[in-house]
Amino acid sequence: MTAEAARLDDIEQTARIALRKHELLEEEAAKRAKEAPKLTVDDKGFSMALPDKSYVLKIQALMQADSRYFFDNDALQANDTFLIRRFRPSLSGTLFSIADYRLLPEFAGTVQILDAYIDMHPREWLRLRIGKYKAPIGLERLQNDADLPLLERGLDQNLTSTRDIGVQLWGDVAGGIVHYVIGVFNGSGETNSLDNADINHAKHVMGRLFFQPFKAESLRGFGNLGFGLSAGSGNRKGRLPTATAPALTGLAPYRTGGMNTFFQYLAPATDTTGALTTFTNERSTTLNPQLYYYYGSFGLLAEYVWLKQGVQKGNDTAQLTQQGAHATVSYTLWGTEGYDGATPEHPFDPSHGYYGALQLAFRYGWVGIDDATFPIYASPTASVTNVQAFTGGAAWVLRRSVRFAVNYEQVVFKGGAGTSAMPADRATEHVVITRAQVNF
Amino acid sequence: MSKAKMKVLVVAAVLLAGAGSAQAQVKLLNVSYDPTRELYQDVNKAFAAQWKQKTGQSVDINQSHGGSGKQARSIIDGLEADVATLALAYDIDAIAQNSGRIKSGWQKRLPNNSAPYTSTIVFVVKKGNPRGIRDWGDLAKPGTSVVTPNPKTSGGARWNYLAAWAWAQKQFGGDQAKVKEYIRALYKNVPVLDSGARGSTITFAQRGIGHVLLAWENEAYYLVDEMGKNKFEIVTPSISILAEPSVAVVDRNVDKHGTRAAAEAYLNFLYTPEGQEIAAKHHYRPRDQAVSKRHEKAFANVSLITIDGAFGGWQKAQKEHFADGGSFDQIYQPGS
Repeated sequence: MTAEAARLDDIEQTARIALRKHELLEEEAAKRAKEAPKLTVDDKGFSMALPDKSYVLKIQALMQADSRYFFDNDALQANDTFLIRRFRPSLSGTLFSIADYRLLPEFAGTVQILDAYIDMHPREWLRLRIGKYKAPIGLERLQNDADLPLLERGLDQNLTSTRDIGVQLWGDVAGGIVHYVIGVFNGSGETNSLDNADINHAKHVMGRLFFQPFKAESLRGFGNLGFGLSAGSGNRKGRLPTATAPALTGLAPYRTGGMNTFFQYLAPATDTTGALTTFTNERSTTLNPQLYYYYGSFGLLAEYVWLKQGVQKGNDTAQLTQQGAHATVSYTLWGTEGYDGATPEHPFDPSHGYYGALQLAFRYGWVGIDDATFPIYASPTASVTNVQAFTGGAAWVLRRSVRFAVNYEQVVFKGGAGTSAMPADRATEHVVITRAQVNF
Repeated sequence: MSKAKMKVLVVAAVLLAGAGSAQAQVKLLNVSYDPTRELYQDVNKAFAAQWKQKTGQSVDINQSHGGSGKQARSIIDGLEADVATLALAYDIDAIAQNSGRIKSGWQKRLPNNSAPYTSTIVFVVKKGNPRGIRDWGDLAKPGTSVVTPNPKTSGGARWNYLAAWAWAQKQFGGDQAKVKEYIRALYKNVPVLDSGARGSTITFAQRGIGHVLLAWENEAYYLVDEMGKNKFEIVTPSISILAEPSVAVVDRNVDKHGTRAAAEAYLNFLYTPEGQEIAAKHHYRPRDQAVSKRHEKAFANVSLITIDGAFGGWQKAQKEHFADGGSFDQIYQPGS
């Protein structure tokens, strides 16, 4: 090799070494970037996560600004209002890959903790949830508040509890074809979520077995069919008033979509001894067959709730059967339907000619009160024996995170007015509800 | 809650647990060092077929590769490896000691101190060996450019370093000053320190840097096979080191994943005649005598020193040479 060739060789080597060092620095930088925690801001909220998702922190919020307008009923027009229906910032995430957590307070109306739980999931089919959360009864109840096709839940959901405190084993078997839940809870009673402690020693056992056969690889083209049964049973006993504490009946009022009470067990404010108040007593059992089917733009959700409720007032006791059901049909134009809500084909983006989706929905709902409830445990002049609701609505879903909706609900009552001697039917309730919702 | 109810709950949980596990496909993650990609692709295929035949279960094995030391650190930091197949026992010891994810005494669980195959360190030069590089002494000559990875992150690099050190010990009659001077001169000739062996192979073979590559024997053959025998050739030095890559089940992870049976069978498979044949095919020196004899002509006959004999074992070698303030830190100046 000549001196000149050797010199050129050295220069070339120097250049190659510099390039390689630069390449290695870039590789190292790219690797570090991959390993660095990732901050994401999108329609699902703010999240920070390690690349392997072993640690995740999510900050999300749901805000619903509603209006209610009652018409054809002078007595209810005083209830016309604007209101913040829900305001729920939430913290959730994952710790060391296997522990999820969620903290969901409610700031609209009564400030309270709705969800506060830890969920250990060593396996997809074996999860353990401990804390306060939705108990496994009520298919519509288990649906996220932000994802409901109509603004308020069906009448039958009055027979299910909004939240309960306990421990449940749950999971998805065979790729989600079978979903199971079995747990032990305080037994908070229908729609009663405020109590953070049990009012008696007895506990409720609740479970749910839900099948989604179309999750099988070969059946995925048939949409999403889900059906199953939830059930719960346990002894519950209300607590009599004391000199320092009011009565805890364990029984909540039932409300229409306009949030007007249509059924309530007797609980006179003047009753200082509890002798005139109806309390839960002995066994309470719930059965809840349920079904949904989603295919493209179409959705159907239906369920039936059967509640055998033990009650006591003074020396009287009874096992009352309260029942309810609803069926909701929904259709989304320019989008798809799902249990997790309507999703626009293209999120709102006027510059590209996309305006989101339009979701239309209709629901029939019904609740029937056991005749034996009256007049001992509830007043026939204040509570109805049978109620049916017809609800229709439309929602403009700009994106998963923003929607505007309007609903009309007509509720027809049997009983609930007149006198004890001559009970009459309460006037039909007509209400228009609007909502602006932000959910991220 | 009554005892009867509790029994029902427990039975339901057990039944569901059984149903879930029966459905599951076994998934394993093999976290390995840099040059074993091709070896374990073949091992995985063969083991999966054998496991399916034996148990009826499908096994899906993912691989992760990088510098051995870095891989060990990743497992310590939480990478969910089911098995660790690293370049040297020290890196597996580090996992056991620093994270407890591998139980102590892991080396005694499998034959040959849990090292199912061995290798050694050789040189790769351009075809025709234009620089006339024959032995370790040639690497320290001025103007010779040597490619080797960083001993702080690469298991192969540590074997390279110790092999050079062992040669110098012998060459200079144990004169530590001269040994260090030699090592310093050698690493002065290293223009780029890659983090792993495969990176160094790329630096040398694809980027055209350096006159000689210090490489695992198996990696050297891989390079020659892949890049063409007319481009590179292997030079076997007068003395080298017996490199014993080690394997272990990551106890805590397999117990968490429920994969212990498959993970243990996977490592045992490496010792079977089929596993040893695959190792030999990829130029790893097999332990099995019969397989070794069948492939004896494929491996150069070189005098091999051992880590225990020449350096008192990995713990001592690590502390003296590669720990912070060790001999490597004393002789190597980045950018020099």
